[in-house]
Amino acid sequence: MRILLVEDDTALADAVCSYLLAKAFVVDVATSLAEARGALLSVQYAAVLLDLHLGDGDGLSLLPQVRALREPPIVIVLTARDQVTDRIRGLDAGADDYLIKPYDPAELLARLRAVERRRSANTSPVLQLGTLEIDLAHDRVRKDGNPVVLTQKEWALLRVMATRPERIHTRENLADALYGFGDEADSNTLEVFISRLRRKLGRSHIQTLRGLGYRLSFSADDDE
Amino acid sequence: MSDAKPRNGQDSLAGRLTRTLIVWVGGVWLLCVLAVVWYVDREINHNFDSELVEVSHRMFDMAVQELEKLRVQHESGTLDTPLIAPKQLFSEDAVMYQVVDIHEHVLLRSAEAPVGAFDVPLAAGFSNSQSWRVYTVRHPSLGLYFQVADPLDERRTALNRTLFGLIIPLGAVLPLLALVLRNVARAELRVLQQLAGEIEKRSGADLRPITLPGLPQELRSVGDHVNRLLERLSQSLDVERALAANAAHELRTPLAAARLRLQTALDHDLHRNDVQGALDALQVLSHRTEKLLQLSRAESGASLARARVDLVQLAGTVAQEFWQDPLINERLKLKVPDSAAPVAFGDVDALAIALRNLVENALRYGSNGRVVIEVAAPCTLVVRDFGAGVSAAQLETLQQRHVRHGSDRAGYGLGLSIVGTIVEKHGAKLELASPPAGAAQGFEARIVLRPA
Repeated sequence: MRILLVEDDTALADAVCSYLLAKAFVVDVATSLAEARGALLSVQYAAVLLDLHLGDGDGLSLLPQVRALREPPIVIVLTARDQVTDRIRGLDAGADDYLIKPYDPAELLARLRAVERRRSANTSPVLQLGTLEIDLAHDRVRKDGNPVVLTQKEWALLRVMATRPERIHTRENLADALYGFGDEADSNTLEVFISRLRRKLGRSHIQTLRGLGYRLSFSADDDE
Repeated sequence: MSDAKPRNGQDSLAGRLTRTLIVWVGGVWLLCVLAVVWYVDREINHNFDSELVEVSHRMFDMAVQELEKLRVQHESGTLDTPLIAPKQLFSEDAVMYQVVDIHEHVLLRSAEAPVGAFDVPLAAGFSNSQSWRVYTVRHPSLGLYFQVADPLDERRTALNRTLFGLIIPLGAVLPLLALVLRNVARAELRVLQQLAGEIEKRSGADLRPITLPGLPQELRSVGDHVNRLLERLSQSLDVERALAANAAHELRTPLAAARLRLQTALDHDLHRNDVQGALDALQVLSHRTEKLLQLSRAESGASLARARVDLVQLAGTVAQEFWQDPLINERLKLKVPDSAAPVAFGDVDALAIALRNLVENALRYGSNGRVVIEVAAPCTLVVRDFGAGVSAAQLETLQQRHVRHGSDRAGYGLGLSIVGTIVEKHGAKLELASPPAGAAQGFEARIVLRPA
């Protein structure tokens, strides 16, 4: 898997490089925004590790170009800015993840492995939610060991949520997943599909967070 | 610092006050004098004029009779020079008049009147010449005119006398007034100097509040503000000292451990355990650095924003940070209200730090059990775990600063004091309970914020 590291501190860049090389990743280093733009044009990367504070500007300004690529790489922001407002800004700009310096190397590795898994769907792990098993690689869901049959649209929704179980998924986000099916994907239809999914998977496995969105819930023992 | 204190300098407050007051008092006084002069001038003219009118009424007939009489006596000669009327017995003052015919020949004049005719047109009423104010009356039947005159000099002298009478005392009194004003201003401003002196005495070692009895209202508020500033300064100095002491202590230990481990590793040809140990020590160091950074950020209340904070969004963002770890994802649950949307007034970054610390504590001490972040109406953030909790006595000491929670030796215990500081800066309340209401065991922290 090929990774672009955008980082202007050469000492840190070297350290990250040798760490990731030892873990069998191919890493290119760009020390400025300009270099990064050039690299993105010529090479197809799986992930971009992006420092925000660069000599020639804000790392986030690279994101529009990244998103415009045909197969956009995953962007993980690596920064010393630890304020929650910075994080929100970064995620709003389209970054996929956010790690704060000094980050745990193992954590960086875990995020990159997750990217790897998402890219090669065949090796997707089975997500275990209590007695519920979601196998994204084979489009299979089991509840208490028994297979659950889902329609295509229900699968589309579940796939979005199960791929990033650590995220709260906004209504817009989920509606986008339904949009591909050509139907009118307004918020009412979304609610209909969510409630169907709940009926099939168990009420407590999809949590509604009013004002934020929906997420898969691990705790089957619901205390509400 | 002390040399920048102009006591008698050009620019003293008393001096400025005196100068300004004198200029204004003098100016207003001068205006008043001018108004009085104008009024007096008017009155004098009016009085003199009415006297002229009175004299003309009284003396015209007498003068005509006198003229007849004198004409009879001087029958023989021609009238080249005007006749001079004898002085009246009852007239106490000199009266200047002339009786003139229609061709402006002076027929009769009083002794004091000039020989020539007054240089004014022959029309009834008042008119002015170069040096005379003349009142003219026409005889109804004889074709004669009677002209009474006043020298204008006389009026000017009267006016000048009044003017001098008013301006000379002004000139004399103004310096005196300046002296008095300056002394009064100095006396009243002495209290300001005392205040300045008190403020000057304050230093890093002496931050006692300023107590000066009998301060006027304006200065009392200055004193109060200075006292509040001193209080904040003293607080932040305390924190700085505590932080310095803490930082040294908290950071040296893991640093020493890491160095020892690495040195040992080198000596033993990079033994795996030693390198791992060094890595662990550095991990602790990173964590403590971050905590100290958070603490100092929380303490520097000056940089706190005051904006609307959507608590649901805040809790969602913080929860998602923790959910990155699949193990934590299974343990940590977020609950938000179904109908209300709590919005507080404060600094979203600081509140996120507080919430993050509470969650970290709960995950650490919650005996690997469930942890709940709850956003409650009207405006409360709750973090609850169901671990062993703490005893009543421990709960008591927990809110004191820099007391460590639990028996961990890793030194993570700065967390709750960070939370306490942030809560305090927001004017909010931190409520701790162990066990939480309705639970058998556990620990609950509530940040009760004021709704926006």
